[in-house]
Amino acid sequence: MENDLDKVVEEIMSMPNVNGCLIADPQGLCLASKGAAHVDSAGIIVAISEQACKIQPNMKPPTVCLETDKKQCLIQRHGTITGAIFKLKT
Amino acid sequence: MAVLAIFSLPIQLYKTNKEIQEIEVGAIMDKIPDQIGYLVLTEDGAVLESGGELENDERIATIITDLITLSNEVDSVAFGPSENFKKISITFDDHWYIICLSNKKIYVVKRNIHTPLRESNEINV
Repeated sequence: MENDLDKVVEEIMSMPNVNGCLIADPQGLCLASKGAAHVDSAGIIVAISEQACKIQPNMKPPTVCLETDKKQCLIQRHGTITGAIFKLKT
Repeated sequence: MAVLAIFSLPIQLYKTNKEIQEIEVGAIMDKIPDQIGYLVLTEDGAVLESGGELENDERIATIITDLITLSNEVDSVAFGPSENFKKISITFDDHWYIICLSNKKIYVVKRNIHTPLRESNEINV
């Protein structure tokens, strides 16, 4: 299982401008992380995606995008798994 | 009675600062393309102004202020301590919310997403 997950993380990291990637379980525990994404932020990332789901609980979980001047963080939930991608802005 | 009526005249003629501000914000928000609702909140989540589908929507206001509080704690390694988020967007299938902070107020806009026509190759940014 870990091998499959690592392969996905590698694939995401190979995309342009991606400098970090994190995958977390529903309890907020980190399943995989690479690059700038720190293991400790898994809990916060799951909490953010849960909070965003509360806006419209009957709809598909939304994509949350947090932006600074130079970087952005994309968070999306798929089933029970939450993924976060840290990107540099072009 | 006549004297009283004269004194009350200026109050009826001129709008208060708050009313002028509300009209201005409403006019600006109306200019945003595909806007279907907006909220202006204080930092602690109180609704200052609202309109469209988000009119007096305190539920969304609470969710969004909680989301902002959470976002302040995201990864200090990826985002340095001096890097504050300037924009948060929440994208659903057919609409999205854009959240910005300015002048100690939280601005939230709900916008429609038009699904591009199949024959169109344009990418909406």
